[in-house]
Amino acid sequence: MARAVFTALDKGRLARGHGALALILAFCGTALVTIVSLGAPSLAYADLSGLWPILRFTLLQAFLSTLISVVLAIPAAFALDQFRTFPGRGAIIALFGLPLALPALAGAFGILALLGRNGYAAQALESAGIGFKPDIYGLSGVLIAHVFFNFPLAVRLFLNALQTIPEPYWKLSATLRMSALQRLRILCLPVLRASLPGISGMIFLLCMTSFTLVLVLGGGPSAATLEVAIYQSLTYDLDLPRAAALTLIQIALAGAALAALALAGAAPDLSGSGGRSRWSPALTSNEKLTAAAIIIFSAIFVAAPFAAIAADGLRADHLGILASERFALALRNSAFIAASSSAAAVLLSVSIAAAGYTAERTGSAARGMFQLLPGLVLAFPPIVLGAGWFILAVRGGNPDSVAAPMVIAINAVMALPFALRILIPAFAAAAARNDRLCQSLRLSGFNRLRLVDFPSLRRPLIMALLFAMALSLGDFGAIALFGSDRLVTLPSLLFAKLGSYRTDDAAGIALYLTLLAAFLAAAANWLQRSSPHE
Amino acid sequence: MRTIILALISSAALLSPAIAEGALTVYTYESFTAEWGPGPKVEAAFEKKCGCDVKFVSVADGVALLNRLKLEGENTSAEIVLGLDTNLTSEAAATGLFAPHGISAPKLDAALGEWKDANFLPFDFGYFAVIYDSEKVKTPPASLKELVESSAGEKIVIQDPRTSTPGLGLLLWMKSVYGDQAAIAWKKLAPRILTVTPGWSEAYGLFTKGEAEMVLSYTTSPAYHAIAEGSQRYKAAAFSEGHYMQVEVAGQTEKGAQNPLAKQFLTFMLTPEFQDVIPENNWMLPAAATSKPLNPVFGKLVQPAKVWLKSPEEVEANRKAWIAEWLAALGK
Repeated sequence: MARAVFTALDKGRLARGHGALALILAFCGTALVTIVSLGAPSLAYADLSGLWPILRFTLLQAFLSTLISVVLAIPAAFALDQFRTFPGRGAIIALFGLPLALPALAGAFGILALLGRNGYAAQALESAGIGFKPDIYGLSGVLIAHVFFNFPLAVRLFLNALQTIPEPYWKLSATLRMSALQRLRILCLPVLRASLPGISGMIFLLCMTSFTLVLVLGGGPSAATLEVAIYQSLTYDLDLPRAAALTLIQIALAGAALAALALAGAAPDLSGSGGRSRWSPALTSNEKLTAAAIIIFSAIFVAAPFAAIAADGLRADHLGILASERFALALRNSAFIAASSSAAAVLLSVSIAAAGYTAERTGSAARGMFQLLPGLVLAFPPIVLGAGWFILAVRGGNPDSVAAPMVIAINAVMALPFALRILIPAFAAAAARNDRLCQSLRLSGFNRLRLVDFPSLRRPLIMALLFAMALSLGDFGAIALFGSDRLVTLPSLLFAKLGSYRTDDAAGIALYLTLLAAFLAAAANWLQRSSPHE
Repeated sequence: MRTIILALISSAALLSPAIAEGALTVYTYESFTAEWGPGPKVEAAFEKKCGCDVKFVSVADGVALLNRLKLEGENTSAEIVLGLDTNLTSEAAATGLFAPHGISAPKLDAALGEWKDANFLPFDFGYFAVIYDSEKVKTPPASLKELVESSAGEKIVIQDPRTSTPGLGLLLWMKSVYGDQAAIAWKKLAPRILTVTPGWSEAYGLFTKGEAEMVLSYTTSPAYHAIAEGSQRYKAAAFSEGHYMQVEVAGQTEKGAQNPLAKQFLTFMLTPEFQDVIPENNWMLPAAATSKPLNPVFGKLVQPAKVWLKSPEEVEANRKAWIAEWLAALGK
């Protein structure tokens, strides 16, 4: 094999990629080092009592949540992929992007409005004269909530994986008169299997670090995750050695899970930019019926909590909320934070995607790093990120003045894994298409950016931006640490209303958050559908 | 990325020295400074009086307040710290950051007894109580014992004592009533606990959404529903063993002791002007006299038959052990 030749283009990309990596590692590392070093003298003697049950519950619920989400998502993704003429298909795919932007507590209330002891299901059972009262509190409640948040994400990821299957394969399958089940087995399963480890890993980490859902729906102190223990030791006990030790354990566990999964398959693709075919399979009426049933059930499962949120939210005193100065401030802050953090996340992701592509093509030793990073960031508890920088900010003077930049930076880092899933595949596709042409035309630098890269990457860039915005809109983790009476955002206002008896107002704000997220999801979906075909 | 760097630089430039002439920095919790909380009214009234500028810095709750002070240490810009409760004062005094308030024999509500704390002064208080939905619970528990031992199917939402002050309040209440038998009582209560939330907000939200028939809150909660919503639906259950008390306090820091405005604020805190704002903005009971009688709704609230309150020292010394006992009793 010939030695890799690095062009100026390659060098520039690698340099920017390394810069971005260094920045992210420094940001996360500083927070971790701050906490570990403050806890350092007694780190070895950190109080780790009661850790074993927490560990067991953390891993058990994460494993089961992932398993259920993924097992349900495969048929749903296949049905959506095959039944392309299903009415409202685009809207349903957009709907599946919504849970991501919902603060966990609002989602929990939505699920309870449906399945809680006083939910619609319970009321229907009661009016039907059935004396059974659903009680989902405990492991089942945690699992239902995690599946609500992650099943739709898994469907979208699997759907994108399926869309990478080249059109000629589908045409061949039609010539061979394959049934839908045969297509699933022969064409789709290999693709799904390849993307399974990456998707599972992502969901496993999201569930492992879950916090609010576990506490609210867990039913008691035996349902607690490591993240809960970290939160408690940081905010309540101020036991830094314990916080540091728990964080290291969490990162080690997450790292081990990721490494095991990385050995097994490819990273998931959120971009939907793979060779999308316009070919629509011919389904028999039985197949259509089955697919339609799967799609409808999935859509109801995801939509019902939102319907409950909307029904609750409509009762709020909307004129009162909208007219208040505090709401205007929260809306402005949320918009500013979402815009800035998504811009930062996309800039970082583009640099990493470009470097990753170059490293892959040239067989550079650094390519492992570019692949591993998205997952590792997910494993980093946002609360540690927040607390580490909070401590530094407090020591450095007035934390209130650095609060906004901190929240923006933390949200940007949290959105990175998602933005990367969109931009890495999109960038690879674009670079494979354009690099040689640009080189032969000696097109580089700003001109290349303006004439070639931006137009061809415009859609995935905007999609990543919208995705990151949605995540940031629903974030309560970072804002809970840094928020103050001046830095109020929509989720923190929701919480403040709830904290002072104003439950209806809180429901109203949850509705606005849902509407904002729906708008972003619809925009992203519209872009995805209108992405260019070569 | 450039956004972050620019934002960091510009905000670093905004870092200003903490005290300007004629200003007072008050650290407190967020619901105090919310637009519907007492903060804005108190600020306006005191600023008019002193001709100075009151700056509020607010954090999530009383516990976060103490941690913030511990992290800032002697560099803190706080001059007044308002919103700790007596479960935290022993730990707070141990930081050495607080100075005596220097107000001898403050005139307080009789419920607060003779006030002995040299560092902290109370600004309001309340009693923990089980609030129930009168549309669903026809015979509410008349005692803690009934709540614990009844086989009724009605569920209660409580808060985690590791992350919330009402949660700790219930733990101390059970400990006061049951003593060594507290662990057994918790085990008996366990089947009636719907879930244990991280804070008051989640618990009360679940309750008003109808998920549980009862919730741990304050005797003053029904006053909110009666005054703000005109509803009599949610009521407090009077327990024959008595109720556990929460006293919220404020104190001046060593730094505040050098600013005459700090002492002026503490004095102002116990005047009717401040106290008038408390009942219907903080939904707690005023610690000192108000200028006019409270809304009659407050007169109809549950009056505890007996008041429980453990000393700050006892709470500090035993908190960890008692929480471990609670965890062991409720963990399956």
